[in-house]
Amino acid sequence: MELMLRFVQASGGREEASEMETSADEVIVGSSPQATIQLIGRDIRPLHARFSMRGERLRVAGCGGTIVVNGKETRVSELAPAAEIAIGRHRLRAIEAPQGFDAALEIRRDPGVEPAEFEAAFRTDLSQTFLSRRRFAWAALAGVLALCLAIPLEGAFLKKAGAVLPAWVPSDKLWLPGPLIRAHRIATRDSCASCHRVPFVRVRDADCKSCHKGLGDHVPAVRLQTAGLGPTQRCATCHQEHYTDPSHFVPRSEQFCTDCHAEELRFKDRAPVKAVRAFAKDKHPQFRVDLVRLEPGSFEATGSYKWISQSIVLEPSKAGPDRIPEDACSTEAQPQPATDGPQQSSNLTFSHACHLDARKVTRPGVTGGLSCSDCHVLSVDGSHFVPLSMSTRCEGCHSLEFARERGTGRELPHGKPAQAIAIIQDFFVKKAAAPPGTTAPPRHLPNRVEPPPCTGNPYDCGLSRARFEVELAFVLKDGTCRLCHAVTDTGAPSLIDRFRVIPVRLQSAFFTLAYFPHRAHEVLGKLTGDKACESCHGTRSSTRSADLMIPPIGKCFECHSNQPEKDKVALSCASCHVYHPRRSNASVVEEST
Amino acid sequence: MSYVGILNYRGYRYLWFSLAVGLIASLVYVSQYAFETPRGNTWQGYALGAVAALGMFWLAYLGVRRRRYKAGGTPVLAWTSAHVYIGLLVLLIATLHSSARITWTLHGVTYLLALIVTLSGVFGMVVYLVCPSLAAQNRHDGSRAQMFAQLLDLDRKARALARRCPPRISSAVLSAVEGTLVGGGVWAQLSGVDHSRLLLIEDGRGGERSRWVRNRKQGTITRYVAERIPQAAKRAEVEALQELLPVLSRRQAVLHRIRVDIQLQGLMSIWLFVHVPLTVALVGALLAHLVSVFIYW
Repeated sequence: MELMLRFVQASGGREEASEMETSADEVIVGSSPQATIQLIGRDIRPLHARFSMRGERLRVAGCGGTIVVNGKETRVSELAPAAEIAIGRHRLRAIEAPQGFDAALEIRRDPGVEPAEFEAAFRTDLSQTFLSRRRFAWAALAGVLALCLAIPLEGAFLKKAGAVLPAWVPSDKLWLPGPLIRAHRIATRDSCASCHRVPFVRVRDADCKSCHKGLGDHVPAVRLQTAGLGPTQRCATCHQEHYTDPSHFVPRSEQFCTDCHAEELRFKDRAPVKAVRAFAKDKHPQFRVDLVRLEPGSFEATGSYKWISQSIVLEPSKAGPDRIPEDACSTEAQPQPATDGPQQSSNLTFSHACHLDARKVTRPGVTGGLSCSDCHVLSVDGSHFVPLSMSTRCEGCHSLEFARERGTGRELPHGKPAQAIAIIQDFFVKKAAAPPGTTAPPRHLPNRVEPPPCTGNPYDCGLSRARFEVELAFVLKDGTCRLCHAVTDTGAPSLIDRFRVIPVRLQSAFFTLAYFPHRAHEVLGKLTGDKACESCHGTRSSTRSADLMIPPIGKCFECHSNQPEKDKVALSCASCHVYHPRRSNASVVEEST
Repeated sequence: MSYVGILNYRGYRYLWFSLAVGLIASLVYVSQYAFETPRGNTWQGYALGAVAALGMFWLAYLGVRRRRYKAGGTPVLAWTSAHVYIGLLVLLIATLHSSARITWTLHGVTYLLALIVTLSGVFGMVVYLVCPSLAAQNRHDGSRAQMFAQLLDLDRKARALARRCPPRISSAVLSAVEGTLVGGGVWAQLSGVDHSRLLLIEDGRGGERSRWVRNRKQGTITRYVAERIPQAAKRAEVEALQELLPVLSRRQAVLHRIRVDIQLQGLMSIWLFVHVPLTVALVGALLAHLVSVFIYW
């Protein structure tokens, strides 16, 4: 609408008028400076009333303020010509619109506006805006308590009752003080209550052990009490979850161990545990190895072999430097062990020196002899080796063929002596009974002991020949069985009862609560391959499988220390030791067949 | 109240207190490295957290109490000085408790709230140090009411003089007076930007044409009137315009002073709209933090 505004003011006894025109759909009257017509007074609202066109007529509507039209209080009114409107102390009048205007208003402002009223018409303080400390405070408090406490709490109870809540609902995940380690995240499926089962009670060991069943205590609770080492610690005392860095989950600081182990620990019912202050010279005791051996006389007493374990300290060798034997493969006289250290009792006859002698042992088509990895394959844990067995590691070179007939070899089964004897007997009886000319004449091999001639009936001759061959295999040092095995000759008349092969046990682990990461030692400075192995294990001078070849601790100090040093790799206790024994882990022993 | 006195109350008594406690707290924090990485649930972590929480509750209570001047006989200056330094101290302790980790969890949000509350408090302290002298300078030793009284008087004079001018100038001056905006919304008060307008009547192709134009800092109307003086034909018109021009200039100056006053006053109170509500939110978050930490202990 086109509106003409005529401001009339008394001046020196006469009236003066000034005109202003405005073009808008509606005209606002109020105390606010944003109003088209600013009328100031205590009883006038910032936006008090609005004028607009209703057909031909001007219409006034109150926006909550009081309007008096022709002496009558009203909220909405269509203004008749010359209608008088009172807003506060100010007077307005609808006058005839001049040419080109839709309507016209005459405005007589009350001249007695006080400065305070004038000031109050403007919003000059932030408290007059939408800002409200009290309202904001209540809203923020309610928001925080609802989103961070009430809704997650309710959700936790609902989840316990089996409800599945949408992912967008604030849950108790908001309370996570830090991330879970990956394994726990998968196992708990991000459910806090999997571990925090009872509200306001710290995570209980039973809740940990409901999953971690195989872990043993470092020190049994009973021994802790008798040794005066204090109460059993909670799992969570050491294994603290929700760290930003998950590597903290397993404590690795030396102090964690030396708190108890810095001094020698004495017990009433077992040997003392030596003091250890760090992995450094004079601060760590010499290594102890668990060696397994047969209990002497156990078979004779019980009819079965009994193995016993013995813990032995690895003392540095007092013998001179290792010497490499001239003929490491000789079986004539077993050379003395190159070291005077602890001996294994695997009951296997084996010379590392012989097998590594490229003049004696070669691989078909490959020059340079055997290398360590031809037999010793690292297992997936990177510390131990895949157990050795005849079928996987020896048979490739050591055939159990005892005879060959028309190009067909006759092999004995490994590990089954009775069956092997029966096969030998079958073979030679059949051979003795064969018509002349059907069997090939025996080859005469150098150094071979020939059987005495037999003139009896073929069956007896066959059995006699078989006995002769079996005795060769079990008695001769380079006999088929005796070459590798220790054999007891009981002197029994029956061939099957006479020879007993003493079982072989090759230990694949020697430390109960420690491990050696072989994988990390495959490259030692400039040494790689066999040279890396041989830098610790004296295989080239070892002619007996009894040689332990585990170097004493001093060897480790050549490359390691507990502190970061130049050209040294720092180790802490947890680099080699495990804290929790596996309950089934009473010296890991593998039996080899 | 001397605002500088807040900082150096009784020879920086609370500064020294806070530095001493802060040093002890830092030593307690560092002692965690002896065995493990610092975190909230070691005994050091619990101790730092407890002190920080108690400090926050006390500071929030202090905020309520500070409104009652000289409550309990302690002068308000002492309360305020303690509030400033201990507020900073508590943030330091909360930082040590949380290792300054901000995550989108309740714990991170609690620390973030403490951070915002303290920083808004620091902002408030700075404006209290800077703004009062600027405001006094701007008011010329007067008051805001006096400035508004001047403006009202100048408005009346401008309106009366406008009536003696030709219609177009009269309409422009009247609309400039009517269209003067002071204060207003939050941004208008804080920025001090002038959104005033005035209505200009000009000759268009189809006759007279009127349009609203910006009257920033009242410059448009002052220039408009000044440019009309040489063009005036009658002596009476020239006199009226010559009288009008200084009135408009004085009005321009008074309006500028009022706007600066509103702006400075706004700066001195805007931080409270962050500081107070977020303090209340922080108290809520702190309670939720305590419950959540111990419900899943």
